[in-house]
Amino acid sequence: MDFWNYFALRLIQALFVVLIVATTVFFVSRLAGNPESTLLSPEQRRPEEVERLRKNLGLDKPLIVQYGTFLGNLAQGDFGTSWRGGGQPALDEIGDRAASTLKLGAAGVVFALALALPLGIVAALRRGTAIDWLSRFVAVIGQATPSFWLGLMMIFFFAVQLGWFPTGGDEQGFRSLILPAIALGLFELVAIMRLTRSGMIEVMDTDFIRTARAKGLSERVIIGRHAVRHALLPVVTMLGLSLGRLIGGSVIIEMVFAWPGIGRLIIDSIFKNDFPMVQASIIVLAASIALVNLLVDVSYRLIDPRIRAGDA
Amino acid sequence: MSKRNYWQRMRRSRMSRRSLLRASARAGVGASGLALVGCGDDDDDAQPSAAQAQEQQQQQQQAMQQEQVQQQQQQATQQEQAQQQAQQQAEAVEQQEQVAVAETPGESEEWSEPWPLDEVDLDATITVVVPSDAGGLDQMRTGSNANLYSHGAVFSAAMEWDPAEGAPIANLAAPEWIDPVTVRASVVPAQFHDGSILTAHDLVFSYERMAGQAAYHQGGETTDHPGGWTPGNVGRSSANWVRNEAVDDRTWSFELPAPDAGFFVVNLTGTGEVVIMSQADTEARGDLAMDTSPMGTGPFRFVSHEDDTDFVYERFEDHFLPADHPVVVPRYAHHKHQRVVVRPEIQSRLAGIEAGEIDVVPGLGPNNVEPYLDDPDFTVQFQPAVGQTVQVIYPNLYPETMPDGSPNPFLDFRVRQAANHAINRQALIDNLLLGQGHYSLFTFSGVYGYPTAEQRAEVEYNYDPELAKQLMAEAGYADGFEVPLYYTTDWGGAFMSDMALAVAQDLAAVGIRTQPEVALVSDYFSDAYVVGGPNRPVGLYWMWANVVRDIGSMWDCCVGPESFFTKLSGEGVIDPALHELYLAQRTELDSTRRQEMIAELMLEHARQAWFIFLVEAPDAVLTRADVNWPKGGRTGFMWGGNAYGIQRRKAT
Repeated sequence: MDFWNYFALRLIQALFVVLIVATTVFFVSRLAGNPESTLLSPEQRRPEEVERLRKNLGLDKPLIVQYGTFLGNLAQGDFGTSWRGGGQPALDEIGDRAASTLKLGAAGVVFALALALPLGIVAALRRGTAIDWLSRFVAVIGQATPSFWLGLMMIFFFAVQLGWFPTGGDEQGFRSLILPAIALGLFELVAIMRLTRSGMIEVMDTDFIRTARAKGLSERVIIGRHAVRHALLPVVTMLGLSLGRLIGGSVIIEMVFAWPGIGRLIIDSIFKNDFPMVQASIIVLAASIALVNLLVDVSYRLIDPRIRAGDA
Repeated sequence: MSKRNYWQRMRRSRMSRRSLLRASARAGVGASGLALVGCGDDDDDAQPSAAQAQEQQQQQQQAMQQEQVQQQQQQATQQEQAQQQAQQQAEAVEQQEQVAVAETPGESEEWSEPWPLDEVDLDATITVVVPSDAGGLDQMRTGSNANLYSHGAVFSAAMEWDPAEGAPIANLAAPEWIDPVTVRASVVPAQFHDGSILTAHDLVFSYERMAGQAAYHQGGETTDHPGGWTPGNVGRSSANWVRNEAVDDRTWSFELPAPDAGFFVVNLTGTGEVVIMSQADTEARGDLAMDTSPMGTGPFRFVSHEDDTDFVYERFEDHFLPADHPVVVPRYAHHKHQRVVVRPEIQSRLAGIEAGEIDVVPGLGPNNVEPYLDDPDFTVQFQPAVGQTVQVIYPNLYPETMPDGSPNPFLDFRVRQAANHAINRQALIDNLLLGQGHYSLFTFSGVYGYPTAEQRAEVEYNYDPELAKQLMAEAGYADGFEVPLYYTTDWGGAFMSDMALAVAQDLAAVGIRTQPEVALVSDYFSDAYVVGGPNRPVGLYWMWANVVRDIGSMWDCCVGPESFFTKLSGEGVIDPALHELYLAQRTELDSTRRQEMIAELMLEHARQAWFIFLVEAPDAVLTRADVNWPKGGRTGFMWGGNAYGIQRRKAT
């Protein structure tokens, strides 16, 4: 299969996934409750007011008609308008929040990569030494620590006790980003570090590394040019998949650090039965993850000649 | 702080309220009688603007008196009664305070009263933290009407509710009751934030808009708001009038179809308050602008709002009431900048105040503030239940039978009595509420006419599990029965789960075995749970009271015949005489008699054990030590509607 056919097939698969997600979220969100139960207080929930609200929200039409309208609008890129105050189109609101979440996610990934790669490589090259032991200890601790607890502990220690960082919000730019990025990125750090270490250990025992050594290449060149590149292939795959984890994890982190991102928006919208916002958020997330997976698949095919050869 | 100091603070809070009552009584002499509960005039010497308006009003009244001699005579009698009543109440409040002083010798009122202006940093920035952001800022729009701090900062109401007198008092308009259904109000010379002058047309417009009747957007049908516009506060009676018109630019006339003592209570307090908007500005800028950059006559101008992050306000320097005006109504703010930040996680809110980023954390449970009681850097104030912290349980009385065909046990008075005797309220108070709180009735304790402690004592079910078992046996349930216990942990504070568990254990001890059914609050008040009353199985449904000061709000939503909780007339199971009493108090013009009727209604409801009464828990507000939030205004407590009163002490 040539590249473009492969790409088209994967794209269709991705679109199908998004359609399934959109349909599911449409119906499931309506099973979750009625918006009048959150938009109107109990004492305001008189029949005529409920009726007026349902009409204004388009909920007075049959469900199948609502679904058809939803799909039609979706095809035109219209995700509807949030029912909560402010009146922003759902997609605009998501755009603002997604930028905030991506900033946090990117900072988390940078933090994770910046520590995980050198630690993983060094741990692999110094197997059995104190640094290897330490890195594995950190890995266990990091994976066993709930991110919300870690976030709270960091707030109390670094923000309240030491006063180095703000306790929440995003008003102080880079300073505001550090604690949530660390709390978010720690789990990824640990996973990447373990993957890098095991990948490096495996690669360092392979024939081509022995050949490189036999050719008299320096250890630095062998590790830097040959071993690391090879060991990082699964890390690249994992980074793509970690997007979903980062966004999922950001829901908790954004709540703890009062970070105005898409995770908070989703939680808030679910609690308020804001159907357009829930639908738009989930669909955008699903589309993002599908897109990243598509890009990972494609890039993997471009990076690894064996996959191309296998296709042939 | 020691335990002793903690109790001293509680005493100060009580004294504060008494002082507030006195101030309110002084400020509202005459105006107190303006309510439907007894008419009078406003000779409030503490409100110069209102007094000026009153002069105009008296002139108009003289003209009317020539045409309506009989009404004048009736009014004069009512005024005299109201003045006497107000004087008596002022004297009573004075006496209360003297008693309070005697109870707490040596205690100062510095915390609970506003600090003297020369000690206050009027240029301060105050940062308050809230858990959520409703998104929009239009107080009248469904979906946006929950941002109380914004509404309290930007807007004011035509009148405000005086919690001491249970009556409306002058604010943007000085009301005069012409007869039991007609109010005529003189509009004070206040300015909107854009410099335009408030007129009676703005009042008419605002009430129409609140009721979904404003012409410029056909009640919301032709709104420019992309999210639609549905009126958010069409409560029990906000649209219930036969006349709402501007006699001239300075005179507003309003007529009800029938005497309704609760009308202005609902429309002047709590989230249902009708705020006054500029007709010209609203019609020119449209609904979306109202939702994103509101403009009113309130103590603060709107500056900015970043969704789920913060709201920023700056003091309105041309506010029509001076800084030394009593805090009972919005006046010149005592801090220059107000920032309301949004933090959903409670530990993050507390970390913010500990780190000095935040000055005030409202809406906390006793368990949250316990660590701060001894800390000199912070001050804790308790107040009655301004959150949903009045805890009662409704036993579903709609179904005649259980799922297995046996009779609904809660239709038997003895079972309801047993359930009430089963609850160890003191243990709940001691172990979950830091010793604070008291026996609950079906409204919060700030409701006008709420029974006194002595009256309540008469109907309170003491903790007596043996008696409860005996009653269960007499009702034929010696072996007990099983029912679901429905509740949500989203309301009622962080101790909700613990309280539900404790109550379930108490009930199980006398044979009422419950299976917990926990729901999100968004689901809880839907057809799937409490609103679906007639279709719901027999079970126990946890309920909380709102903070509207009129009994009608809770009666209509949750107790009376049209409510989602109980059926009370027709083939209903609750004594119809209760509803007749409720209707009668609505038209009772004598305030003393009305209070008696409301108290009797609540006491009789308790006597018949229609609910399982639990506890009314306190609501705690945590502030930094150099910050003072005097209680007052609107509800009489500390809440979003009166954050304009927050002060910061000048640095020394």
